[in-house]
Amino acid sequence: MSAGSYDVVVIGGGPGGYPAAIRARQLGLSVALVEREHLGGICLNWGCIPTKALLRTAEVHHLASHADEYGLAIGEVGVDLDAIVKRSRKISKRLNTGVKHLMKKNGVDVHDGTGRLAGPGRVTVENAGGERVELEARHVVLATGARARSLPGLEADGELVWTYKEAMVPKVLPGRLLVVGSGAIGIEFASFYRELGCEVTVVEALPRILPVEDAEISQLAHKQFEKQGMTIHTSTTVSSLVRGDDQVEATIGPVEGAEGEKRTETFDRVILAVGIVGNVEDLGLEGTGVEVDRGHIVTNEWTETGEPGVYAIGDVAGPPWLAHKATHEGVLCAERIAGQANLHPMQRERIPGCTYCRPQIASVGLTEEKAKEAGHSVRVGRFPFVGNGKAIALGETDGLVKTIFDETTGELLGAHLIGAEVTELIQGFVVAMNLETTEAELMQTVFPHPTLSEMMHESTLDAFGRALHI
Amino acid sequence: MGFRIEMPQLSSDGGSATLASWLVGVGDRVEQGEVIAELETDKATVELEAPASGRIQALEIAAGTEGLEAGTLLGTIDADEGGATTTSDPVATSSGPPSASPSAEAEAEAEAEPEPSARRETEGTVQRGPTPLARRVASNHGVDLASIEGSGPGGRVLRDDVLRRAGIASGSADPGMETATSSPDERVDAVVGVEPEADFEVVRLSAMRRTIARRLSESKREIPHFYLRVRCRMDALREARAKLNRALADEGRETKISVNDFVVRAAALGMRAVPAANVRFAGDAMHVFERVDVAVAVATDGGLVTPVVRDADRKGLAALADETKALAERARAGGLRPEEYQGGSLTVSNLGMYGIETVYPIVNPPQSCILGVGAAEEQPVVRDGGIAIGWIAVLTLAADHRVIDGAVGARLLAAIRDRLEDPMDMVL
Repeated sequence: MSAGSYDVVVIGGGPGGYPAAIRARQLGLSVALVEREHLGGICLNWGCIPTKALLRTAEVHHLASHADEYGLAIGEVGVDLDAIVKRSRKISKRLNTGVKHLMKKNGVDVHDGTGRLAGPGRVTVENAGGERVELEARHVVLATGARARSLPGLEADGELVWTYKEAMVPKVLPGRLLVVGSGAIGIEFASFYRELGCEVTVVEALPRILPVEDAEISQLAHKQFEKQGMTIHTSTTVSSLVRGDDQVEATIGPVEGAEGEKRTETFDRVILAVGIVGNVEDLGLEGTGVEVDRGHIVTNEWTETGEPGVYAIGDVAGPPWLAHKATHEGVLCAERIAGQANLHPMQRERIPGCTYCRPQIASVGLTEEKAKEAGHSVRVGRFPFVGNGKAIALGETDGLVKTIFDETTGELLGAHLIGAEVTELIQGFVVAMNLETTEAELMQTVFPHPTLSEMMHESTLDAFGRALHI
Repeated sequence: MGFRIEMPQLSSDGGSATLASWLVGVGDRVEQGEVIAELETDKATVELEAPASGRIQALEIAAGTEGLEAGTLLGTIDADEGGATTTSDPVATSSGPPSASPSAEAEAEAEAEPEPSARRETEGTVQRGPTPLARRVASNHGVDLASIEGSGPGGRVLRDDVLRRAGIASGSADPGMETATSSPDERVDAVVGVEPEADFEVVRLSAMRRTIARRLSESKREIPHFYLRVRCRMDALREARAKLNRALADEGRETKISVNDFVVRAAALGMRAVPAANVRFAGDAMHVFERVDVAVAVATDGGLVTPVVRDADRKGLAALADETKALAERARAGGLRPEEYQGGSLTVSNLGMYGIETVYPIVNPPQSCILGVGAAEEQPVVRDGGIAIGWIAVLTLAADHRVIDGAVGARLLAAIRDRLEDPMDMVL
């Protein structure tokens, strides 16, 4: 029996699904949202937001521990792990409630349970108690997200070997922590635990940490982390994890062709951060035209799958696994369904990425290497934090703003930043890119003094040999 | 006191222009109103006048720079003390068109007051300018931005729109200047490795040439043309013309009336007599015009220009002759103002002076009709049951079939012919 008939049924209430639902309602469509766990998805409940809460604690801890440098006497800074985790959870809860209100305000019917395709135009929702209802849907949006990837021999157990989820709600601080994988997730946890005093070892299979970032930025980050006392092994893999009573023995060795010896080391806890896979199982995709490739649903530039009337957005539709990419796709998807005119596919090269370790890292566009590979003759600008008055006043002199321009057209191809607050700076470059500015407009822009943003200006000037403060 | 020399608004569609040349250099003394630069739009060359008297302080934009939009800072004038005689407030000057003193400004405004037709044309199509990057890439590749339909918000022309037009896949590096002068054909050659057949020189198209290419391609592609052809006896007209010119000479006037002036007047009166032909196609609508404005095709070194004689049906032959002559001279000198070549009900294209018998013209958008005029020549004609010698010219009408049917076109052409064959009405 049908529990309702909708223009759009969205499966998954994360940062892709719920904005898609809101936008579809704004465009006058009737919408149901199916969520099996928490509205807001991983991002809001177990990802972006709660980790930012933890990392804020780490930042305050860092400042408090260095209070004497600012002329303040605080003394020993204690850590109340329970309170730290509680704060993080409370923030998630608050935002989760906010999404509920948004759904209500916008007239989106929320169905708790697991959604599945059940033939053309039909979705079944099975709640925790096993009860099923059926929804009629002219369009179905799959926004089921993704989960941590596990590798053979490296399975999480939730006790000693964690994924992001357990790492976010620790009961004790591990003395020695191994982080496998140095993408944004791995590095953020490494940064958090190191700040609170854990001995942290990071293992990365590729030759450098934060492999998607510009090589120069990776190197600067590497140096900073080592200076903070982190141990980092690149071109290295973990081949096995043997669990003891309250410890894990990890076999660590070089990747093929790299130098070094295979060895075993003992850790109190391990965090696995070796990528994520889409939640494509148990969605009723069998027998439909929806195609799955390497753990992700295949879509075209309009978020359409191979099955008419079925769309996929966000992490389940493939990388980059970023909440803002999911949101943008969600809105685009809703507008596509509503038949809006003048839509534009998302421009992937203009999606920014942020990592909230200390120092922060933010980037958009092509790395220097990728720009050259694509055949651009480039002009590269660099401006170090140490040349910026505001950075010195803040006591944050480690960092760099790197810009990459096409020599012929002056197009801003990429911007790569490391240092304090760069996650808030990057958007200036993102807007510039979207407005298709050349170096000339950036140079003509007046940047307020004293701010960190002046470095964006100086970096642009430097690319053309005109920097004023270096 | 630094006065801004800004790019004026040159056309109602907000198109950009090229700074063709500076006529002054830094340090030169200029008087307000003196011509200091030449600007080239896609239709004409326009003179830029000094906004104030003083010395040229700086020239910001190099001659030859394309794609300049209204308001662009071109240079500055260190103005004389007491300001620019008529404008005491430099800020006010900087925001207005630089060429005008208040009285001239008011006049220009009155002139520029768009006629109803022009207003209807532009209504509801507020286009946003191309992005800076699109402008840069277009200039690198010699792509005419005005010819590109933008895919961005509000029709904004984006980088990829330009690259598409230039035949370059987006996402790859822009090959830039190396290919800036190569034509699409060359590029195809380069791809398949075919040697060009013969050596040739690459001559970059002027803005005007590009506009002609674009507009006439559009016209021939979009407008379903049909052609009507009629033989017209010119004996009476020749006689009348000779008499009129003698009379004018006797009066001591310099005016000389040409055959073409008769044709322009006949076309105007014909259009007045067949208002169903004074229309324009406009998508889901048709614009019906009250006024009769006749454009005259003028060949210039830069290309074809079609200045418009306004209210041509209400002007006598002598007035028409004077006005047409003045317009043609200014067109050849590249000095037409935008309002002098925009709009028009129909164009007269006369190639008779070359001895051409029949002209098959292409409709000149946004108009719907064009009249081709061949040479008046002595030919055998049948008169009173016998063969005689008479002066004959062939007239051809090309019309837009979307809004003008064959019968309407035929009535128009017949009306024009009747007036030419019996010109006494026109003389009055």
